Amino acid sequence: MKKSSLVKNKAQIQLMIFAAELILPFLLFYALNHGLLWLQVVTGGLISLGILVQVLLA
Amino acid sequence: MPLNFLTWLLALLPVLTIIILMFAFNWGGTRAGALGWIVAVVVAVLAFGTGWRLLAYAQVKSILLSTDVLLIIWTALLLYNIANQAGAIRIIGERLPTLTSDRVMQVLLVSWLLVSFIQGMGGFGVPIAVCAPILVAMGFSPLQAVVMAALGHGWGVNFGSMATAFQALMAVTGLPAETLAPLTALFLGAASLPSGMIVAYLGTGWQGLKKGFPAIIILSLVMGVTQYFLATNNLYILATTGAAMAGMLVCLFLLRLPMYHAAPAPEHTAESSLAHPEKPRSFLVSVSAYVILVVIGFFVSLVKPVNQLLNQVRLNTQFPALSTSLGWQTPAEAGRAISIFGHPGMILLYACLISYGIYRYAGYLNSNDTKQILGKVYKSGITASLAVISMVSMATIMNHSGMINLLARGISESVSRALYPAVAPFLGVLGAFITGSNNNSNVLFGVLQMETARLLDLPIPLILAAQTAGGSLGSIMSPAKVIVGCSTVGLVGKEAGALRKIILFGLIPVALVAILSTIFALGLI
Repeated sequence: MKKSSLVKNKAQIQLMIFAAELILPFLLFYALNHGLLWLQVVTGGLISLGILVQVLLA
Repeated sequence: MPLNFLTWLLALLPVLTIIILMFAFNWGGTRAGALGWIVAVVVAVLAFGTGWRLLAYAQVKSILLSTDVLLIIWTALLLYNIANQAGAIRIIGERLPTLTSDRVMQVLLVSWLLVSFIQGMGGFGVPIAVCAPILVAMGFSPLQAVVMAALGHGWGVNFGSMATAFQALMAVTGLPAETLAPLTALFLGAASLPSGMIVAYLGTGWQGLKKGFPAIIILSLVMGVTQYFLATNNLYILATTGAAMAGMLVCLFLLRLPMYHAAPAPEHTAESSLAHPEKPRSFLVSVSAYVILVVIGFFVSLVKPVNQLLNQVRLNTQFPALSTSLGWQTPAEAGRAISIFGHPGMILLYACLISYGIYRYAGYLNSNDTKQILGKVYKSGITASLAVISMVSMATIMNHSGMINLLARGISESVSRALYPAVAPFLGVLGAFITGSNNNSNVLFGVLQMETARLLDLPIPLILAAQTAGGSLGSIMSPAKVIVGCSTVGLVGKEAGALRKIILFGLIPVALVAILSTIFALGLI
C-alpha cells in the first residue's frame, strides 16, 4: 500500500474513533439509565475497541 | 484502600505510563493517553475494586468534561486558521518590527508582546512557529530565536488559546472561574516580568536589559493588571489576548519617549517582499478577526441581558452516587453544564463566521482557501481531541476509583504542609513538560493537587493556581513545542540545545511563582 493511502486511512480511522468516543458514551448513558445490559456491553465494548485501535495506530 | 508504597505505585501507574511513553519513547499524546486509559481501567478493576457500572458512568462524565474543552479547541483552531489564511499573522509580524529601530524594543515587541498575543489567539505551538522566523529575519541566530520566542510567552499559555487550559482545570476540579481566576492571574501576571527581562537579556545582553528595564516594568504591570481584570470579570478567554494588546498599545506610546525613540525601520525587507509577492493588504481588515472576537467577547460578558439570553439553554445531566467494592464513594452530582449558545467556544464560532464573511468580502479568502482552512483545522483538531478525550477519561476513572485520593494521601504524608505550596508549581511544570501542554498537565494533576491541598488543609484555589501557573510556564519547555519551533528555523535535529537553554531560563519565572505561592500560603493559612 502506498504511503499516501496509509496516511489517508489513518486519518479516516482517527475520525471514526473520534466520532465513536464522542457519541457512544451518550448511548451508554441511556443504556445505564434504562438498564439495557446488551446496549451497555455493545457501547462499552466499542468505546474500549476505539481506545485500543488508538494505541495501535502508530 | 490501605496506603503503602505498592498501592501508591499502582495508583501512579497510569500517569507513569504516559510519562515514560511520551518522554522515553517519544509517543504522541493521542497514543500515550489511550494506553494510559487502558492501564487506568485495568488497575481500577483489578486493584481498586471498580465495577462495570462505575467505569461506564465515569466514561460518560469524562465526555461531558472533554466536550467543554473540545468546543474551544476546535473553534480556536478555526479562528486561527481563518486569520492565518487571510494573512493576518504575517502582516502583524511584518509590521511590528518596522515600528522602531531600537533593538531592545524590537525584541520586546516580537518575542514578548507579539508571541503572547498569538498565544492568546492560537497557541498549540504556533506562537514559536510564527515568531521564531521573524526573529531570524531580524538578525538573531535560529537558536536564539526559538529560545526567545518560547520564553516570552510562557506566562500567557494558561489564559491563551482562548483559556483552554484554564477551562480544563475548571472542568476536572469542578470549581468556577471566580474561585480559580484571581490567584492564577496574579501569579502569571507576576511571571510576565521575568519573562520580559529574560528575552531582553537574551536578545540584547545586560546593556539592553538595563536600557529596556523601565519599559519592561511598565509593560508587565500593564499586562498583569489587564490580565487580572479580564480573568476576574468572566473574560478569561480574552485575558492573554487583551493583556498582550494592552501591552502593544502602551509599547507604541513608550516608543515616543526620548529614551526609546528611534527612527522606524524600513517598512518591508527585500526578503519579505519576495516571499509574499501578492498585492498589499489592509492591516485593519487583516486583524479584524481578532478585533471582532474581542468586541463580541466583551459584549457577551459585560452586557447582562445578552449574557442571560445566551446562557438560557444549558446541557446538563444528573449522575447517581457510585462506589467501589473497597468502599471509595463518589456522591451523586450533576455533570458539567454546557451553555449551548453562551459557551466560550460559541463566542469563538460567532467571531469565526463574521470574520470569514469580512475576509471573503474583502477578497482575502476564496473557496480554495476555505478548503485549506477546514483541512488544517481537521488535521490538528482530531489529534488534539483524541489526546484530550483519552487523558480526561483516564483522570476521571482514576478519580472515581479512589486512585487520585491515594496518590494525594501519599504526597501529603511525604511532603510537609509548609513546603507543598512551593512544590505545586513544579508538579504543574512536570505535567506540561511530559504531556506537551498546560491543558494536559491540568487534566493529569488538577484533581491530584486539589485532593492534596484538601488533605494538607491548604487553600485549594492557591494550590490550583500554582498548578496551572506552573503548567503554563512549563509548557514552553516541552520537547513537543520546542520541536515545532525548531522546525520553522532549520534547527531540526538540534532541539536539545534549545531545550537546555529554555529549561535553564524557564525555571526562573516558575521559581518566582513557587515563592509567591509559599508567601500567600503563609498569609492565607
